[in-house]
Amino acid sequence: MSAPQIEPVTRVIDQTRVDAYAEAAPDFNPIHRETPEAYTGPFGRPIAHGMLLLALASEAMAASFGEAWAASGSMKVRWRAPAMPPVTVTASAELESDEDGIATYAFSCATDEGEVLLTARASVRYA
Amino acid sequence: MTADSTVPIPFEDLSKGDVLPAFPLEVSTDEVRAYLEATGEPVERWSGLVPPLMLVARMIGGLLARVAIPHHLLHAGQEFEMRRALRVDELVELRPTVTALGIRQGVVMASFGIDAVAADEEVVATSRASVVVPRPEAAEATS
Repeated sequence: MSAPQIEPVTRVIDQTRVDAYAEAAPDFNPIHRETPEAYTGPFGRPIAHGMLLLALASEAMAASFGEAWAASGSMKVRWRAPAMPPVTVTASAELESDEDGIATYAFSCATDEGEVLLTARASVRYA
Repeated sequence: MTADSTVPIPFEDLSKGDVLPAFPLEVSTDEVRAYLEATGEPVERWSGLVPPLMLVARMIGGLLARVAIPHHLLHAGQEFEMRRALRVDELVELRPTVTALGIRQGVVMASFGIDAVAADEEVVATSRASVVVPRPEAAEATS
């Protein structure tokens, strides 16, 4: 048994999705919403939650590993750039190692224009 | 540090090593559905279990409700490790600590560790969130 390739996950991140995520997370930091704080903040407009972008990578892992991802998954992420809605984001991964039943992948989430929004390393015990 | 967990702790009162008040977490089926609909992940993929990144999001959300964060705080990094799956409607206690806090090149940098612990003291998951905030904003905390 060997670790599978991870299928990319692509999603449009618009303000409606960001607002829904703010409610569900919950994370009401005003820099993510249509607020004065967002427009006077460091990016001049609302930015998507970093955890919403990371959710695409987690979804990709869940699609391949199911409950094993919930039981033994781990991640380490650095956000590299803000995502300004609306933006189309793709999470993609490359297998880094596959040893002793533990698979480790290098993830990135990037825009259609190729801007890297985050990089992450994800591991899971699958066997 | 001990405090009334209903009153947000001012960010500027935090120190490295602080143990913040623990708080409970129990995730319902409806909450899982709302989270998955928001992120766009297929709802049918998760039945009876909490998606791991949702658990981490709830850890962070609970922390944000209990610390008066400065305007423009940015989530710069995140780590987590699942020790086992968290079941829907399972009660866990979230135990946050301030694992790092300092100023580098005019930017306040802080890290919060949070453990999710079951009733029998089994650690279900651990996480570490790193945040940054421009120094002038650190004094303008808001709840």
